Amino acid sequence: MSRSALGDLEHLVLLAFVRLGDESYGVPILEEIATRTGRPVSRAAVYIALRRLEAKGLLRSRLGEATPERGGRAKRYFRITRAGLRQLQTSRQALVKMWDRIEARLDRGRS
Amino acid sequence: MSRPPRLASHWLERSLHPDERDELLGDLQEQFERRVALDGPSRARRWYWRQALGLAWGFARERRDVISTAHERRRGHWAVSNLALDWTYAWRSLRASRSFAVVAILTLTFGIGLSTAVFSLVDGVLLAPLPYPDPDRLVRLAELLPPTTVRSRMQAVADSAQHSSLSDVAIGAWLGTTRSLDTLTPMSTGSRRVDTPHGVEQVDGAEVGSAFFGLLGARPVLGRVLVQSDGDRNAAPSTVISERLWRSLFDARADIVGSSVAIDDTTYTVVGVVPEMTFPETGIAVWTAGHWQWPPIGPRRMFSVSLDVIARLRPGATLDQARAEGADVMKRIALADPAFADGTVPISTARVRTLRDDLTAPVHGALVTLVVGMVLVLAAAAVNLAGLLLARGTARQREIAVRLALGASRWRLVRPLLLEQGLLSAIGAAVGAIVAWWILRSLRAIAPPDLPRLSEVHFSITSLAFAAGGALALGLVSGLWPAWYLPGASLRQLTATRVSDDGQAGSGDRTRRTLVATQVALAAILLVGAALIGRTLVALLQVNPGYDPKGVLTLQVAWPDGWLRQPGREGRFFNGLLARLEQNPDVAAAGVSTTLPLLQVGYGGTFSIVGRPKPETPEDTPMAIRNAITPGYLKAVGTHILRGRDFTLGDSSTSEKVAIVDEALVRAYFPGEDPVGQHIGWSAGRVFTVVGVAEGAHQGPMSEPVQPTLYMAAAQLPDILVFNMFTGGVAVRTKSDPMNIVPFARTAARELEPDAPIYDVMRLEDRLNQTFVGPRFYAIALGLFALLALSTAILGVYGILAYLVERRRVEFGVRRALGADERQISWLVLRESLRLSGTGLAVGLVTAASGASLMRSLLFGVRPVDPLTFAGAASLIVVVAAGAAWFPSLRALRVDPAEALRME
Repeated sequence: MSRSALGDLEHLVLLAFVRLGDESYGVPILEEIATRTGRPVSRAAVYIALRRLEAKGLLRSRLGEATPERGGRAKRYFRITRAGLRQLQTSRQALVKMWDRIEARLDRGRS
Repeated sequence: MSRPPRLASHWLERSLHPDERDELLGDLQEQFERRVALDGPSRARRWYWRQALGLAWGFARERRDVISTAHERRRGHWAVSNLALDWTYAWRSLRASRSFAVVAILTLTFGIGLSTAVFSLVDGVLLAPLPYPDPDRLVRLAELLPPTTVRSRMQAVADSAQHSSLSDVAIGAWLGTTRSLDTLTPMSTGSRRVDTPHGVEQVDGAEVGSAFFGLLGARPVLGRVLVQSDGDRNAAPSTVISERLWRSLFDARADIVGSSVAIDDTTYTVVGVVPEMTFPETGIAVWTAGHWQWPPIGPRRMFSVSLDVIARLRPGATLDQARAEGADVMKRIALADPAFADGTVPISTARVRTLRDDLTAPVHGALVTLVVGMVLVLAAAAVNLAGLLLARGTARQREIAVRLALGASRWRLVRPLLLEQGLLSAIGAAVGAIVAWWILRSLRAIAPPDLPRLSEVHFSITSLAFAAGGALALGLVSGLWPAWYLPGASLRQLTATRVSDDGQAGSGDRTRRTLVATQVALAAILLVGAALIGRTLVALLQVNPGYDPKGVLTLQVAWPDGWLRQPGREGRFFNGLLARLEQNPDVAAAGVSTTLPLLQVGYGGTFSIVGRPKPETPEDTPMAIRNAITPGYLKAVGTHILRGRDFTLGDSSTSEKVAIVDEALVRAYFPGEDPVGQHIGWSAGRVFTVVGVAEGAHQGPMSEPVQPTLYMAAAQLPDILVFNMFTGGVAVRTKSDPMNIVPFARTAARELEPDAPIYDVMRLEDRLNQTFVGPRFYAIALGLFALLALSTAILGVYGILAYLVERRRVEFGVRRALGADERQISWLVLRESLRLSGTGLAVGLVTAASGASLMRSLLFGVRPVDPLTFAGAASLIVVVAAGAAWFPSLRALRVDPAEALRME
């Protein structure tokens, strides 16, 4: 796999951005992944994924405003970049191709 | 507002990179707030800890993966292996002598655990600044009446119930002239009736000067706090509510700010929500701006209002300047009173002290006692450790002497000892910190309710630092000096085949004896302290309250202010309520009193005894608490009539005015006389015939004396008077659990007056038990201290006896061979034990006797230097010392004479 291939969690994080649309920050991302997948995710892992995605140029961030319910601390807003969207497409295509016509087999194996 | 665990957030703040700190902590905080609302604060705090640990762990792993160049790995590995080797060595050597390690760690754990808990408590209550900006400039003002006046004698009773206030005239005068104080802010607390979406609720409220929140620098969670304009007489009524009320009874509605709420029949606009405040009392739910008028200085008026007042010192002003101003104000007030001219009105004193001192003054003595106890426990732990290490060192003396002779440097010999000690201290500190954390967590359940600022006490960074520092200090004190002392052992010991038994105690011996005697002395001091508090508790429990709390329900009624203008309305309500209650088959008796036991102290005043000359000085003026009651009241609370009769329904407004006096009043004003049939005069020319004598009943806690009390029949007093005297409520004696009657009473009250709900419903027994929580807490704390000190003393005595028996094996063998019987041998050991503990005991008791007066404020029914307590502590120590001699003496008996002689 190429260096820019997405890790599992990175993939989930990027998808969460697309789901939430436009700009978002840590809390909604954590919650979106947790509610969608139905299990808690490691907080540290998500933040590390955010850093990596930003380093890869798939996300861009800016510091937001400080609000009282955050104890006066600023948010870091992330926005998915065009490269990020492209990478998602690529990953999706790869996955779809790999999944092609095996779902039935997997289901059979389970029953 | 609940804050995330301080330790966790502080730690994260420290460990996170500044670039990511805001983002991560902010996100955590945001989710934490939601969790608090969802799961409650304690689960949310646990969640926060898990998240914090997870973050730290995850980041650490990430970083390790990133920074793992081969070179760095090698270097790290080398450093770690070297350190690990040293620790492994210490660990093995501790494991080899497991009993030593266990005892040492237990000593450290409990020594550090208990003292860290006490330290955190004292730090939170006494030392930590109040959580307001510039807290040491905040002062509280109070007016103390001179001790000779009747009013002050009544105030003395009321004061112990806590209040310290300033009269309205004084507030006005002080406000008008002050140069040293900014914004004198009055406040008064009381129950308020709030109309919530969940029905009318009785909550604690505070009326405050509009500058109150600004003065304390409190910030709202939502909306705004009260400001200057809210204090205007014609401002729209505004209120600020507490976060807890908002969440519990207003369902945390987002649109609360700007909505209307009815409080005590007035409609207020909610302008803001504030976090929980601990001042002036915890649990205040609604805050409104008070509108007071400050009457000018002039002749004394019939009614005056007293309010709690806080203020802020102006920049540059000192407490002494404020005090001088206060004295001046009091003087001006006194001079304006014509009564001052004939000397019957002495001048009051103004008391100005910092808010922090004011809040903690009532528990100062108790906390100082706890700190002294803590220091003694730490000392006992240190001495015990030193003794253990010394014994261990003695056992190694030969090894050390050999290594010294072979040219080992002192440092090389000391280093393993120090490392061992370090390891012990580290384990002790860690486990001790957990013990302290656990104690502090359970503190809220067992601490006395009058302990101020309890909510500010947690296990904090400071606590952790104290635990670590304590362990380090203990380790240094107890570990270093035996470490240095040991290698001094001379080469001679290398050649000695066994330790000499010439009867001369070596210097090591003397040191050990001193250590053990010190342990006994410390245990004796703590035992005396614990016993004194324990006896206080017993004495309090044995006081006859003058009523029988079992099966009694007490409750108060929240009637609307409007009743003041409708004479007789509360009378009709109470008569109706009592009539209904008495019809209930479960009720044995019911009555109303203007003063209920253990509630606010009642209404006091002077009276005269018809036929006696007018007293010359204020001190001689007869004075009593006046209590207007209905005929069933004394029977309901279980206060017996000792002579004469109780009130009956026949004592009405048209019949002869009658009164009942209590024992305390008889003792004070009718010594050796029968008061029944005598006449008592009261203001406005009312004369009452005494028809009965009641048992003296404690109105306040059992530690306070019974106040002379004058009972009057409520039906015979003007309504307005009863209304003004009213601080009490209803007492119901039931045949089963009093709480069973509550629904019935609630319904009855609602049917009679829908606007007058009953509140503060409590078993009288529970009210009484609450007064014992404080003494019980201090008894438990000191008891724990004493137990710990005593067990280290037992270990010490046992240890040295075992050692001595070992040393004197030969001697015992020879004695046995020469025909000494078992009793004589046992006595040799026992005598040693008693000699040791006797010295320690003597020192301990003398120290305790000279220091016991420190505890005076905590004691009741027992003198600080109480012979029985001292004798009890002494005999316990002697018995324990004798017990500690048991196993060593058995060992002495088992010495085989033949074997011992062979060794010789």
